Amino acid sequence: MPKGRLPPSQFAPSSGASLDTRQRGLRAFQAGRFDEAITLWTPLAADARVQAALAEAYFRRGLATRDARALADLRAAVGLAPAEQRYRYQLGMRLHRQGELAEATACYREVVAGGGPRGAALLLALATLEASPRADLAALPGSTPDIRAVLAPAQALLTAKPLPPTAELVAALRRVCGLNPPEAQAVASLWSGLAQVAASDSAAATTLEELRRLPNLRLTVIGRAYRGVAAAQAGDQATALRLWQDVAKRNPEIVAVAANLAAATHARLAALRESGATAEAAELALQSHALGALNPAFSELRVQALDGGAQLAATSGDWTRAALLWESARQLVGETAGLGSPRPLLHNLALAYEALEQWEPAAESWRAMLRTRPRKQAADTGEGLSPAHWAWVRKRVVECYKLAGRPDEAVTIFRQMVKAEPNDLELRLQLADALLANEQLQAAQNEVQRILQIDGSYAEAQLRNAAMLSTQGYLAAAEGQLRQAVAQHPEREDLRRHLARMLQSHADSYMDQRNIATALKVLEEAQQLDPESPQIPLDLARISFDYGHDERARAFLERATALADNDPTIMAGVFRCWLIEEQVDEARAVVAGMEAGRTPSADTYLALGAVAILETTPPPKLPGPFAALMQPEPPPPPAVDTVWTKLGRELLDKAIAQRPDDAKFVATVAMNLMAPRPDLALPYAEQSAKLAPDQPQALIVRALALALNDRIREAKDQLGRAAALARRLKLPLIVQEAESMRREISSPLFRVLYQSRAFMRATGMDDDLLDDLF
Amino acid sequence: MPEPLQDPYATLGLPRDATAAQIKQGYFALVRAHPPEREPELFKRIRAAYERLRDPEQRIEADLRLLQPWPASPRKRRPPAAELALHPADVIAVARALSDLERSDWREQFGKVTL
Repeated sequence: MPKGRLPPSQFAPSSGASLDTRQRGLRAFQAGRFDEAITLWTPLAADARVQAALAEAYFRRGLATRDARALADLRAAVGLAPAEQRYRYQLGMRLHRQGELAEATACYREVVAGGGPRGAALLLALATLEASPRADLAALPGSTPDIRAVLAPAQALLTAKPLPPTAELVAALRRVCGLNPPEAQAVASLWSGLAQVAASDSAAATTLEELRRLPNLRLTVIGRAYRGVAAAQAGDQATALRLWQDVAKRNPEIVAVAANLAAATHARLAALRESGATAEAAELALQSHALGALNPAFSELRVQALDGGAQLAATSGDWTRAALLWESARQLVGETAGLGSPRPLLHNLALAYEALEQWEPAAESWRAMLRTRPRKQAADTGEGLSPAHWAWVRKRVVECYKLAGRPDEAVTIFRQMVKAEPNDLELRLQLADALLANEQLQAAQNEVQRILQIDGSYAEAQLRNAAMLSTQGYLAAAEGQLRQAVAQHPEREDLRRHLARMLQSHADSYMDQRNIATALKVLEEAQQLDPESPQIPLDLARISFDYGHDERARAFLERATALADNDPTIMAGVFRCWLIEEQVDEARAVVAGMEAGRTPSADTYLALGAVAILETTPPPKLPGPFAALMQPEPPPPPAVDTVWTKLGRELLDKAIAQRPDDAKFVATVAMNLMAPRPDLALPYAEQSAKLAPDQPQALIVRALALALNDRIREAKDQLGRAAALARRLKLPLIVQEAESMRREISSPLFRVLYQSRAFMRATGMDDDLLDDLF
Repeated sequence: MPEPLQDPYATLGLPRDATAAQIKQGYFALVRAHPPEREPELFKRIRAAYERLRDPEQRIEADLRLLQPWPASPRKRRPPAAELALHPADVIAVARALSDLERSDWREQFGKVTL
């Protein structure tokens, strides 16, 4: 390679004014701070020595940078020191690289004429060849047979002529470019391989594969790129893909590499998807992310592959991988026009981030999904998302920001959106929801009022207003608001259901206030609004019993049963009504009716059996803790069996008959009986411990039953065994639970505390006790 | 690792746009085929799926908790084609790589400045 060395310039020491500035400039120059040196020296450029130094500063800065300023710096250097051919040589090369061939050629000519770097003659020939492949290179100044030999393969390929003999080329490469023999031979082979590619000669793959000693990286990369082309010409798509992937990582600027890589990747992706290799296809699509949006079909296939892989990852619980793949797909859809709405990807991304508990990106994804909603509702119906679906998405934005510890962010977002579109009532509603989530109740109410001022019949705002009024205890006003909404939107069944539900809930409040007449009135209205709801006749039955209208109550219960479709919750409600009315035969008839349809599940039997025993056993007397400390609690009176206890036990036995080997279920039965009837709980606890002797949790349940039956010593032994077993099984929380219970079990407070807790559990306040244990 | 999603439609063997009547019908058919006394665990799953779809509000949540497939495009697009010819720009790139244009270290051309 030409060295192009010129003798270094010499600058004589300067004297006179501004010495300090010049010296400061020199210090900056020597430290590589060329900007500062140029600033300091420019006002002193009238001095020839400073002018020469300034030119050198521009030259150095021009070489140090790659941006547009480099060209201006080199021009400035040439302008300040026209005789310095090294400056002009670098200017010529900068212009050449930028494709300014005419100006570059002019520079090289001057450099050659001025005796500048010897590489200038080769570059003059090269720039001339680039501008005109058929140009006569021999006519150029400085042209030699060696220079022409070095460029001969390029000229031959550009003009579709045969390559010159290799021996002459190798010798010229050694002399002109300073290559060693293996490097020169490798370059000659590269030209041969390229010529074979141009001729679609199958020998190209072998020729290009043997390149080992090319003198620089660029030539190596070009060689590999065309080895890929040769492989593709020979039908070896896998090798082509591998080579192009490698080239794209090193130098994507090579012409056609990106397009070829896209084509090969597309074909491979299609084959992988066809064969069902979903994960592999997704990985390939992910690797090709950097190719960007070259071709819509390619982008579409990659999005399909990424989505397929993400769905697979999500299904197996790998949400991190799923999120990565969906993010890549989302970017691709954003970069490629015409692929469609990114909504499904944003939706899935939001779910993935929620699964990963990354609440802020989850909120951002839901928010981005909201932005994909068409402005006109009519356009939305085809895509399956109703206004209620969108309302749910809005709630997730607010909820996710709240979970991210930034409920204010949702408020900020919706405020900005409302500011931009003040008449968009839906946005205002989103703002109201965000304000509610941020506990700005008054601001939320104000926002809802603003919506209703703009459009008094806006149903969603009417719903919010009614809900807020109801929460504040303005029951009649809330009902009035919803009645108005129902009247204004007779087509909206959901509004009628909302009103029915609100009236049901208000009926409970009226009952608590012993305002039974109003409760009855609103429930009758609720029934008219939602005649298919089984819960409403059930509530009406309870009130009718209170009034002593047993026949009416019976009719309501029959209606509730007919509508319940054996729903266990409703049937348990019907059963409970008869229980409260002490009509055991009716309660048995409810069970028989359920069994006539299909056998109730074990859970249903458990629910009914537990209700039968819990509701009919007098609540345990709960003495104050001080009383318990002052004198030992007398043993509880012996439990009395009733018809309800009998029915309850029958139902519990039916439950267990369905799951006789399920230790946890049997323990659940025991726990349900533990507070009201520890004597009945004990056999079930024993059964559970027998079923799972290696589970410390089952032993703890048995210990509890023993303790509540005053068999403290046995309970302590059992807890000791449970703790040891849990220790062996490496269950530290269970060890802690067993040891703590063992310490407390003989305390007079234990029964008091347990019964209080069990009472809470019976009322649904502590459902997690068993989950904590098992 | 978080739990994978349970698709109630898949559990009940229904399409995502099933009507309320179809949901009910599908549920009862499955319950008949898998009665709770014989297959309590499967019944639990079927029941849970039905509970998520029978109530309109819960169904909205269930719908939006399900992964959405990327829709297949109805448009037939032209796939990318490989360019297997020798490109003139790459010929020139080889020639340039043999010249000073490829060099980046020009310290030998730096002049000495003394003022």
